[in-house]
Amino acid sequence: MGMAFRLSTDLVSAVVVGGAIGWGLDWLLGTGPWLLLVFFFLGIAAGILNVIRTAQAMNAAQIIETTASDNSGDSVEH
Amino acid sequence: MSTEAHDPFSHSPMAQFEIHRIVPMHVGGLDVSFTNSSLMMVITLGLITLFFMIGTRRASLVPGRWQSLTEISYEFVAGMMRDTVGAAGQKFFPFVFTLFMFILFLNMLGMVPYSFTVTSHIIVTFALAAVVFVGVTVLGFITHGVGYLKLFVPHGVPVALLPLIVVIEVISYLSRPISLSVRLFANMMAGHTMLKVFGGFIVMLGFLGGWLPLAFSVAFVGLEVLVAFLQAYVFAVLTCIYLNDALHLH
Repeated sequence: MGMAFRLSTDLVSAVVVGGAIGWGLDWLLGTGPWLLLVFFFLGIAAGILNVIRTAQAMNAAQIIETTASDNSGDSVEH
Repeated sequence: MSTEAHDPFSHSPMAQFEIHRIVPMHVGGLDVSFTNSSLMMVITLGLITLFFMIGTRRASLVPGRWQSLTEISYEFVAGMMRDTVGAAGQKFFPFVFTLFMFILFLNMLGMVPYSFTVTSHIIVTFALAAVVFVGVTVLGFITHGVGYLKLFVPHGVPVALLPLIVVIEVISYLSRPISLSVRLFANMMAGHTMLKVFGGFIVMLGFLGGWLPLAFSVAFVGLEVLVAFLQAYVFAVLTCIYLNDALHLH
């Protein structure tokens, strides 16, 4: 549950930040909804990037953990 | 509703998150009152100090119970920093250790009935995350100068795609404090609301039907203790990962 929650906050926070940047730039420059749209989708891309990186880090940590436990199991056996 | 607002036995599951002024103070138009939230933070700091004073009072080669506890907490954070940051991160051990102990104690004290969970307020967790974010960014620029901006330019990207990728990387970087603070705040708030809701079910169903939510509540308290520890750990480990990014550019 902790893992799933971590991935979802990674995704959502980037979308929120992207949307906020677009909204702020629109407000500053007065360029209708266009920058909001552009940065919203860039935010989604950044969120997916976050999720991929977090998932890769989790995978790497898990592989290290399992190999470490395998090795310790072997040393106990032999 | 207004009659219920100050009733400590209120049925509203959100009443536990209300801020009350204990000592009202105003400085230059700002409300800086000493609230129940501030009181919990002071208690937390006092307890952490007490914990380490008892633990290090009689330092011996064969540690006693309290000394073991302090040594375990030290070893835990030190090991985590060795794994994620390496030798260069040892300078920042006091910061990460303080952060971890502060959040851990706030979360755990929030589990005590009738206490207040400071970390269930987004402004507190966001302030902590902002300190980490600003500190790490400043540290990155101090260690690498302008070269820290290379963090936003991954290797082997075609020049045509570079503007797009850099903007995405910057958004990803800026989203760090948001995800860091929202994760802690949402976990604590959701957990404590669930506890109160099921506590309300026990009262509503009474002696005949209340046993099922009671059993669930007991199991859920165990889960919440785990979450309280896990979220303090996640906050500290992510701080370490961000420190690692700032110290060693990839």
